[in-house]
Amino acid sequence: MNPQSLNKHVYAYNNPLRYIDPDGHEVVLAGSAEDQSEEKKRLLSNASKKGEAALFRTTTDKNGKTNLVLDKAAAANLKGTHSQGYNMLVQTIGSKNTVTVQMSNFDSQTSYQAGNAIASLGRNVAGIDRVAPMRDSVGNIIPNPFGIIAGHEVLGHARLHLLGISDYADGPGSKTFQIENQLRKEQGLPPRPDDVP
Amino acid sequence: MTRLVLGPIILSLLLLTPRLTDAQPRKILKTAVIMEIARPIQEGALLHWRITNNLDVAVYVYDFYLWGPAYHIEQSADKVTIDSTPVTESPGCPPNRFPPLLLLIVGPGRTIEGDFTDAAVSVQGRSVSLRVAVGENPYTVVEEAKQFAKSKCKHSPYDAIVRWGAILESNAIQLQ
Repeated sequence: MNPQSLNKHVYAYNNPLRYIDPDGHEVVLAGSAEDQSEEKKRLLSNASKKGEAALFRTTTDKNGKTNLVLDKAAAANLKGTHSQGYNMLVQTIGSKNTVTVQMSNFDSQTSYQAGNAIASLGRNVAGIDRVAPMRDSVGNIIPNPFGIIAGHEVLGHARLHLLGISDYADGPGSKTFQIENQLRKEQGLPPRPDDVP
Repeated sequence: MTRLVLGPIILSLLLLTPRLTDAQPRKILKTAVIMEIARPIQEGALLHWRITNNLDVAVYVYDFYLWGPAYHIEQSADKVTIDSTPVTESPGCPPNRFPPLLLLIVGPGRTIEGDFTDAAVSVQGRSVSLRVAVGENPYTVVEEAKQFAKSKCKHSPYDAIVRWGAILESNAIQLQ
């Protein structure tokens, strides 16, 4: 037996649409219209193959909540394999639990409430990135774009929590680090070094 | 019999002792270490800070945000308070990146000074002050921050700095 077949992520990647809950759509974009637009932009940058980002839209439900949803009809017409960022975003949207995405005045982080998660995305470049940008082993600066940070928080920590997987701390070998590096690879960016706190 | 009587007393003293020793240096630090700010020396800087240690032992200043940018800014209609440190414990999950926990030594009787720069801070006619964290023991805080980062969100790693240091606030000045 291939042990990878027991891995929920790999299973989801192979058939992400299967995870869509018709009553789900549970990526909530919070805050002002400007904030929601920024949150959407950052999240969709992880759907990195051509045409994928255009498959998502926002809707407002009866409670006034703005949800990020997948246009399933359009998605069915987009043939071929998808990026892992896309698949993870689809899986997150299809969850029966909720990820609320909001803007934060400082650094980005994810917090948890029962089965749900709140991903806070830093409004500006966090102080740490201004003072000490990420560097590789020979001192070159490694880009740390907002979209990758959104992917780290939402598709890493928050999505894993929705799947019942605890990954609450970053560090070498953490699942969220691995996910961030998958997203970086797809977007042609160098990996996040293991020794970056 | 003596052991039975003394046991609980000794245990109580042992439990109380760390609290007393923790609280005392913090009070002393707040009065014996002085921070003042003035107009900046370097062009483009926001303000100049000076920290004087009047104790006969070295103290350490949380350094990462001391030269800018601000860790956090507190604003009101007439005042801007710039935090170069977290000032209250705020339990939470680890941030996307936690900066290296740098401490700057201030020797006994010595003064250190520097300029704080943050182009994103707008003072606009308001007075401004700066807050820093100062502590006496440099050995425990890094380890505690690491432990807090693994605490499953019971503590933010930044809480270690708040527990470690005394928070000093400078004089407030008018820059414009």
